[in-house]
Amino acid sequence: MADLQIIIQLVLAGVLQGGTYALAAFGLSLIFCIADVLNITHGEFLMLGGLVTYIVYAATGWNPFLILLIVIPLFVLVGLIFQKAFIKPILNRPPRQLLFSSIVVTVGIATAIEDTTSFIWGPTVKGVSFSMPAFMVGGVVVSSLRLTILLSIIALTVFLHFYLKKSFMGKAIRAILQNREGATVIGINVPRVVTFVFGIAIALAAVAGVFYVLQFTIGPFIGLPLTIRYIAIVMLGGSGSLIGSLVGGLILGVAETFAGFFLGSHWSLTVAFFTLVLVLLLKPQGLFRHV
Amino acid sequence: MFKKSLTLSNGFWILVLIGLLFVPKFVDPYWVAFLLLLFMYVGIGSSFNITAGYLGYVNLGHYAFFGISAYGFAILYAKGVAFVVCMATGVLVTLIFATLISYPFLRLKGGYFALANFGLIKLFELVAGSLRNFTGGTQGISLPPGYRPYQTYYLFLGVALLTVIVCYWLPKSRFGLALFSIREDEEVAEAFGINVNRRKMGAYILSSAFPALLGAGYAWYSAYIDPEVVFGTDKALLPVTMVMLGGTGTFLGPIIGAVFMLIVEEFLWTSTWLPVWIKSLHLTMLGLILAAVGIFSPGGLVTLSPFAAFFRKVGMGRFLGSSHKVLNVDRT
Amino acid sequence: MRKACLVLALALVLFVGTVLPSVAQEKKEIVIGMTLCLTGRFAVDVGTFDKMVKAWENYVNTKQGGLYVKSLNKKLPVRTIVYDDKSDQATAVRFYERLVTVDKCDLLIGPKSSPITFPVTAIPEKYHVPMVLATANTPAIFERGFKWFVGVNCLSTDWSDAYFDMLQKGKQAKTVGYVAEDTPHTREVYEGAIPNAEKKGFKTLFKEIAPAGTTDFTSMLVKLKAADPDVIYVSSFTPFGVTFKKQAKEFGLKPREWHFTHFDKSFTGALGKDSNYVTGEHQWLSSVTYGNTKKFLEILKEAKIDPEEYLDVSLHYGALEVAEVGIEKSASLKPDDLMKSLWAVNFESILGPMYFEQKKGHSFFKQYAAQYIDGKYYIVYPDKFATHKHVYPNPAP
Repeated sequence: MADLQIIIQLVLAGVLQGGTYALAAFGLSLIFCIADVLNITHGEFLMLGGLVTYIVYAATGWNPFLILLIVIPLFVLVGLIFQKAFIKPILNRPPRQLLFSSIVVTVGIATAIEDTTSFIWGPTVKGVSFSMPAFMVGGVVVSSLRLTILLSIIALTVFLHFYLKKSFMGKAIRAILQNREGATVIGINVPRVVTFVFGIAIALAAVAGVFYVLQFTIGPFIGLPLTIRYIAIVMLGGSGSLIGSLVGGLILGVAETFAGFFLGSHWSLTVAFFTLVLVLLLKPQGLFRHV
Repeated sequence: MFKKSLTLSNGFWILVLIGLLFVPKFVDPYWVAFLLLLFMYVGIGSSFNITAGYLGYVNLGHYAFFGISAYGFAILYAKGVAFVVCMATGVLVTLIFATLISYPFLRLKGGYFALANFGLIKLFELVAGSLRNFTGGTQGISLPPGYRPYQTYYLFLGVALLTVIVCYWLPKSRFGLALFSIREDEEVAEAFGINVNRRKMGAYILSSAFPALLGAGYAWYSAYIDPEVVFGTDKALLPVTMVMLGGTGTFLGPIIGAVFMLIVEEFLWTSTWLPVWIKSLHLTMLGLILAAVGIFSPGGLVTLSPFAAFFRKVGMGRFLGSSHKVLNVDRT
Repeated sequence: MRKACLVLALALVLFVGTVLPSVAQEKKEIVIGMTLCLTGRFAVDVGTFDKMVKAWENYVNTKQGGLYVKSLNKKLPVRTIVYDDKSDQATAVRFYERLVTVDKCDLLIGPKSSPITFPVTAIPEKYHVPMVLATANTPAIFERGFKWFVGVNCLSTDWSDAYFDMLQKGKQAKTVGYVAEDTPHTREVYEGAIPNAEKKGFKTLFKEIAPAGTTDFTSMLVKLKAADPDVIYVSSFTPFGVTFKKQAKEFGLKPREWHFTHFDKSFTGALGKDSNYVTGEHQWLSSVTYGNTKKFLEILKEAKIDPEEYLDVSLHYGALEVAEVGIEKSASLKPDDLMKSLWAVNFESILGPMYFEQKKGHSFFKQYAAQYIDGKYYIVYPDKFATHKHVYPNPAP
């Protein structure tokens, strides 16, 4: 039936959309949970991840999925440096002051990154002309590019899930999320783990940036609006929860596509945010709690 | 309220006030426009401080009050309704909205509260853009044009003054003390018999009144608004950043923050003896300065020793208020 | 006490540093001021134009010896002042105020974008300082009967006039599907294009507007695929356009022609092969031979700006050209004379014959219909400057 096809199409698009959102959101939520830091610079790392992809692709023409192999370690490093330089100095402050300070510092760094990027690479938007042919499944168009991205995200999520569950570092992270003092007591080097978490989180944002530039275009100033969207997902899903970010992202993505179809494209984003506000009012801590 | 004796600090403020009243007569209209913007930010920042600094609830969506009132004003003014009625409507609509939203939102804590409110701004931007027939959609609303910097100057000066006076008076009042105790520990405050919910709502609604006045005034001044102009997220972060920069513990903080940021920006951009490349990167400079202040001055600029020392020497030490003492919490 | 004095001294220096230089100097030069969106949401389009303005100033002063002022019977050097309005209205208004009252500009150039231009035009009107608008093209700006500015751009609603003229002459395309990005400018272009095209006999099979941040076009694409128009006309900026085209390709949309109203190098770069044979509008390409193109190209070279990447540069340059001509033909640098001269301007600029509608102030400049073929932009209409025949239907797979 034509209608069913369209519904499937919309669900698929929404899921694909949501998956990309969830990736960057998870990093943000991890940072918020483990360090009580509101990282408004997060979107900038996404943008930078996309920028690196653009630069490498323009120079070499490599498959962007391979460029990921460069992006990930690069941005883990960037994340470590970022944390050591800007976040560590403010971590030993009471919660409310930390919130304030983290906002001021990350907004400052975000502004500086945007401006410098625009200065060096110009304010124009950039895109990557890599494409993969789409295919049809019973009348429903499936974008293989977006599908590959989604599969990559799922793979990453599964990997992260097991990493957090089984590896030593992963367990250390979860321990800190559950009980900070307790973790220190049993000998976990909390500062080191926190720094490492930043590395992971920012690498995740950069990976999201690679996927982003494959589907859309990036420019020096896209960071801030994106950060807000990801914050929304963090709120929706409950911070610190891997599943939460995924579900939050999916809800937002599907709400967007459905609203776009039935109410007109106008309303897609509006409905998405409205959903967010609604969920928050009903469940103030978000849908899920910690991992 | 004010001490009867003419102390140095009171004299200082009176001088400043008189100066501001007569400035438009003596300087280029450019400085009038500059100061008007300063007043606007002082007003928005100080009122933001009521919930963020005094109550301890960081309302990142504070700017929404500005935008709602701007639209409320503009929609009616474009239809030819009298200025005062439009102004009153804008403010009223904002107050009603603040009242409605306060109850559910104030149940959220800390970062969640901050961000839910931030999401609200984005929501309003989208809604304003979608309701074409009502708000003009993304085309915005064009008001009858007119060149009104002087009137707006005095209007904003008045509102800023009002806001500052309220922020000065609040910590001395019972209401203010209740807010402080809620900020420090909400459960304990409740145990002591403070009607926490009522106080929180009160603070929230009170803080919405000032940006509402400024929003309507701004719409009148610029004669054109659209969703991006009044609900734009980069602008929404600006007053917030100013206040955090200046210091949230006291009423002086937002003022210092606003003055600092506007002057630094002005200096970076218009100074004729700075090399060109600095001007091209002026936002980067601003961002780095912001980050530096955030890292090195946790209580905001107001606690920075030169400032604090200066204020104390001039006899205004009591204005520094209960700035946060930096407790070392092991979080590294 | 010492520390406090130090702080006071610092504050004083800062203040003096900003106020003093603005004390008026004796008239030895012509001062032209403007704000540009060097940062913020419009920086994408004009973020590097400060370099172009400086390059122009350089050229005029070194190669032309300045601009001739009739009343002084000699040439005076030009000095340009550019402020960053951060794509923000209030900032722009403030800086134009400063340009007039503190910097004492003789002439102003308009800012980018209509939302910013709206409140800014109150300044020339109030202070009686002439202003030349560059990119602003919303009809409403010109309907207010203001006397102190003129604008070099055509009205946004006439954006695709040339294109539909060409299609009409070609007699092949019959149906059109319209998509627009919901921003004031692209909306106006879309709203102007539809009745224009319908009057020329093209049938509208689909029309819809989507918000600027849309990331998924499934709903639109499904409907477009069913309607299958000959031409899909998209009024958008690059990010929206690229995303739309990419998804449309996945959807298997194959119209006989694609039209994107803003298709700069970022657009074609991001799409690669998929942008082959796309049509759109251009304000200027090197095949256009109006006016002093040699000078324009030299200035572009010094500023390192590629006109195929920054489509608006020809408009901003055109405004500077108008300023030049207006100043040299004016009886004096007095505002009334200067404004009168601007209204009376009639010369061949790089944008073509430049003169203004005497009641409203906009020019009669028309965009060219262009097509991107095998890695290069070509003008395909009007025939006078066409460097390639319009390729229709789209032969790309």
